[in-house]
Amino acid sequence: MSKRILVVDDAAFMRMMLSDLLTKAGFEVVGQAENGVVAVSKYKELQPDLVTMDITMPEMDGIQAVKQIRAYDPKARIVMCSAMGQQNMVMDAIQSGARDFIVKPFDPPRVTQAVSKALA
Amino acid sequence: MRDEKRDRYEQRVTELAIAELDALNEIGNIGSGNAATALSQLLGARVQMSLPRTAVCTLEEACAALSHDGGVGIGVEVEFSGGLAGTMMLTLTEDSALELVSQFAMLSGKGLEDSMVHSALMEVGNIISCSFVTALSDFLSAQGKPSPPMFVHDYFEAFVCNALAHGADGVDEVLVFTTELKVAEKALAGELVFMPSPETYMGILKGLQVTEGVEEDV
Repeated sequence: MSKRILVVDDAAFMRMMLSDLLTKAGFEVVGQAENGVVAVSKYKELQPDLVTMDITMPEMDGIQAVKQIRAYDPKARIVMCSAMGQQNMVMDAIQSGARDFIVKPFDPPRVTQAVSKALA
Repeated sequence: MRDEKRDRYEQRVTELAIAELDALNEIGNIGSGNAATALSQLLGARVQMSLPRTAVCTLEEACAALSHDGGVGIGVEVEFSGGLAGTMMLTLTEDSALELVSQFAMLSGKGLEDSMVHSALMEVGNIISCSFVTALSDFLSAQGKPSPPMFVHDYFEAFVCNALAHGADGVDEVLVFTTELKVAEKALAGELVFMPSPETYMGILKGLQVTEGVEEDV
């Protein structure tokens, strides 16, 4: 059975691109969320195997969402996807419990590799 | 910005030395190089950005220079806060915006009223703004935290002047980097604009160590 993924990004266009990429790589995108608040709620509802999480979003940013999801499920597997590759942002994400960090724009093989590794 | 700091900033901006302008051009160059690479990866097309122009001018002059003779266009604005603060904006005429999104096969034939086209333009603006600032961040060892991108479709004069005035934080003389883009060998009518906040600008000069003998405390 293919692994179930929740895609979180405030840009509908990026959610569409990432969902398309993941589906073509053999994963099942079970849901999408446009901010951290919706992401936490959908994580509880859908119980996905993995979450791809943007950082800069309205309402609640990705770092806060990772913390809340990990507080609810310490085994949650999350890969951050952000346009900001600054070292402090990467460190914040990893310290909050993310497994990996991908800088936008996406390189499809890099996304597939990060997601597969986080699911292993 | 406090009056005393504002006076000092304006004095420094108007007294910029040639060496400082050279250093600032290099900063703009590093940022736009990284942004061009990111946009090229996103579009899967060759992207060229002109060497950035560094202008020190009044708000009014900057606004006039970027207003496209009263035309209508789109803008994507990202504001950065923290040690590397400022306003980044991608502006494009309507035709060039459509030319840009036509690079995405899934958006072909869609117009500027389409919500997915808005979202794609916002993400293009977001990615090139963030990659520009990430390059500066590595170079200057300062961090900038981006806001979510804002999309606007209006007269250039209205949204460009509004964004610049907001970012200028009360000063009249501003430093603006502008770069022009070419995608798949076609020049786009518009600019990538970066205006550091007055305090960040002073920090950049300090970071470049081109402020010998000037010990501003900003």
